[in-house]
Amino acid sequence: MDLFLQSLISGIMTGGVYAIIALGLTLIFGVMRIINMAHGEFLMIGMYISYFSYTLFHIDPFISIVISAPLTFLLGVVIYRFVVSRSQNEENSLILTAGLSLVLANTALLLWSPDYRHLKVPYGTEVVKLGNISVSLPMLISFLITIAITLLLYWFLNKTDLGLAIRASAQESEAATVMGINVKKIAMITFGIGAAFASISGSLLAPALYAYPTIGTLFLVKAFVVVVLGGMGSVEGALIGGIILGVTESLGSVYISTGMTDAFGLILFLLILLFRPSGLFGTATR
Amino acid sequence: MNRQKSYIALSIVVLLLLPLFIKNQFLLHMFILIFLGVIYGQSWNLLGGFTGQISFGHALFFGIGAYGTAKFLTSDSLSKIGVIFNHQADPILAIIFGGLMTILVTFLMGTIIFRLSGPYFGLGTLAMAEIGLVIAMNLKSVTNGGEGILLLDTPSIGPFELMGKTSFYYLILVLMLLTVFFVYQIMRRKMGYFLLAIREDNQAAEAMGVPTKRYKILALMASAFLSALAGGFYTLYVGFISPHDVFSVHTSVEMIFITIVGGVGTLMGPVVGAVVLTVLSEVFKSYFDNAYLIVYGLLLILVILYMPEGIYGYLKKKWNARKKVMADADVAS
Amino acid sequence: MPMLQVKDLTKQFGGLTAVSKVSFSVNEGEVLGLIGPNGAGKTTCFNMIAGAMNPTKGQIEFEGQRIDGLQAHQISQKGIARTFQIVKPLRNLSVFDNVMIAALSKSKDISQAREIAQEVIDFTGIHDLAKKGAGELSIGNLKRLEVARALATLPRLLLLDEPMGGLNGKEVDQAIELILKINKSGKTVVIIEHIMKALMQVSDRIVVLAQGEKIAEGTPEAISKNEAVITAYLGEEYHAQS
Repeated sequence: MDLFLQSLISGIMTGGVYAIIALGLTLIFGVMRIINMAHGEFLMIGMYISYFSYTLFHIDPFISIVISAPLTFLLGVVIYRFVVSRSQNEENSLILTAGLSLVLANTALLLWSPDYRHLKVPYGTEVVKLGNISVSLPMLISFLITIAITLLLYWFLNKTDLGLAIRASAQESEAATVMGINVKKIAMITFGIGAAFASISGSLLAPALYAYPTIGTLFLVKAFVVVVLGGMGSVEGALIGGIILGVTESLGSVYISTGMTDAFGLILFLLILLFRPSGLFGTATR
Repeated sequence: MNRQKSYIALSIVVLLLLPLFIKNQFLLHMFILIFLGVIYGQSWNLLGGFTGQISFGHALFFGIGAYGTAKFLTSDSLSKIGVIFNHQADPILAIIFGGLMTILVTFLMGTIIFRLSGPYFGLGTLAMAEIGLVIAMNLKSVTNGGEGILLLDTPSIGPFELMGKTSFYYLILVLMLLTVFFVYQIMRRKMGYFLLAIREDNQAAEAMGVPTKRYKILALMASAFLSALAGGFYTLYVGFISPHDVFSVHTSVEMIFITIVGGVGTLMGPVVGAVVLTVLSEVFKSYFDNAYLIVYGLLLILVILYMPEGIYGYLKKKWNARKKVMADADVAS
Repeated sequence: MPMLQVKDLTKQFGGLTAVSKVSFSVNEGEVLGLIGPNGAGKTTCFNMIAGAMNPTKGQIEFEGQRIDGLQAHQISQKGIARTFQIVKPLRNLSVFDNVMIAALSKSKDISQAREIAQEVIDFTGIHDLAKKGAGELSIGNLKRLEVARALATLPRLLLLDEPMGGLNGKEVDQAIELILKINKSGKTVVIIEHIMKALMQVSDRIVVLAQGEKIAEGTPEAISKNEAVITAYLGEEYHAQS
């Protein structure tokens, strides 16, 4: 029972980070109908920013979010403005962002070599006891940050003019245009926010995982799974989807083999894509 | 038309004679990579370019072809079927075996995957390729897991051993020519026109009497078969395969890039794309080492933004415009 | 026996009923007009007859055979062709190839399809456009291409969905002429059209739908005097003003 609870909780915590990655992807899809194949690379960039902030300036990785988020936001805005926004249709933007992913990953390879880099914080191995269950301290912190960021996003989307404009564009871009919303500007900002979210999750993962230039692909696939689970373009769906994936993986690796868990997630992904294209909880048809 | 035919015949003769003059092994290796790239591109283009179904999972077919070939040559029971001349299985039969395995898989896959369209189809095929990778890693009894499969014997076609670059040059040259001819034949027939109609508008195609689903599955099977040929050749040429080598997203992406950079939806596009990308990546490998893929990515971005019809499509458009200007000038004078 | 018989045709989308228990029949050789205010369910009826959608309930019989539930290309094989209200040209192909591909599904080879395409192109008067890309055409010519493509599948029954929408006066006259010519060549036609004057001119009979239900059926003269029809249309205008 303890083992079950233990893996359930660690699954939920990992799921929180997955949710943050997926939130970025789903926001971009919602507003622009673009599936951003370069999303994982923003995560990778976040990881490296945290790594270098720590090794060069001794900035704690969780605090380095303050640096990585705005930087990747700007990078996202610039990339959207000069590259992505110029593509002509859905299929092209899909392939275009795949090209972008290759450029970003290989630039990292060129700058930082293919070496695996580990950010070792002094409290990295500390655990917090909650009854019989122990949780790693970095993981707990990152989960708390996840919750804070999600609440912040929720507030932003529901209470600010810009957030409301983003939601309007996501629902109906033509209607948004009629309402006088500058859809292009909104798209640019959304792309930036999406990139920032990916990089935040990169920073959150930095103390727990090795950073290397092509790590993005791994998380891109995970983000796809989450987004499809929760429904493309749905913010709430991304949260629930993230937690479902995290728990599935965590329980799966305890009770089944690790290799097969990956297949599990993918098969689930494919089945939902095929038979519930609007996600497990979605009602909208496409 | 006849002039075009004689050009084609001439280039084939040149390609056939080339190894007599080129003794530089690296140069032959480049040609082999280019021809392999042409098959990559033709395969993807048949489904993505001509039929409009953008796949991100062609590595799956490449991988199954590669593993089918390797298994046919190395497994005791399978290789007995393939013995024709020597004590060992025939590599051509092995490649065909890999191709047939792929056709079987795509037949099953095709009935469900075409529930998806547009970007969703891309995601679905991506997932399928990833599932292929996970299966190849875990189904150790068949695939030997992450350790991969090593070909111990030098394969030989009849009395000819596949050793040295020249023999592989001829093998891939023949495979490439057959591939181009195969796609050309499809595209000038009823099937080709139906595929174009599906690409342009699925619903209109249905209303025009085209059984769209059946033809999409056929296109997928044909396209996958070509990828499997490429995978089979890869097995023979490299002599070793592992899941991460052959089921990698990178292979899928490379197929897309060759087609898009060359010219999507044209027969010559993948040829141009394979030449340009192979040469460029070899050149830049010497400057950037592993990071040469930056150039790949940048080129792709530039092509999509500034010549969406690809290099071949762009040149053709320019050429036609020039011809038109010259024809008009003729009329005027 | 009528050529096409529709019985209790019903289509629901989620909780919304788009078409409710509609029944009508089409006799061989006639032109049947299908009218109704926006959202009356006309195009949905076409979609179900042409196999683009499955009916929730009801039957469709064509030449004595049940055809409901068949796929669109199977319906095309049976001898029914349709055009789309929102035109669907194969944009990157030439006008000739557009028509030729439609002919291909009924031909044994390409050369036969070319012959059929040539005949249809001459018949519909788009000869001058044959080599143009379909993406370059004006809306009037696109509507004509839709008809040509439908004809190339050699149908006995033709479903025309607003073939005159967006045309100017002269083009409307040409379209009327073409529809009458098609009908004269022995094809049965069902036509949805908002341009009432044109519809009255081509139709032998008219079926009126409103809010998914059939509210009237009869000759053009009878329909133009029908109380229920007038109310349905006035109602729409009234709503539009408010």
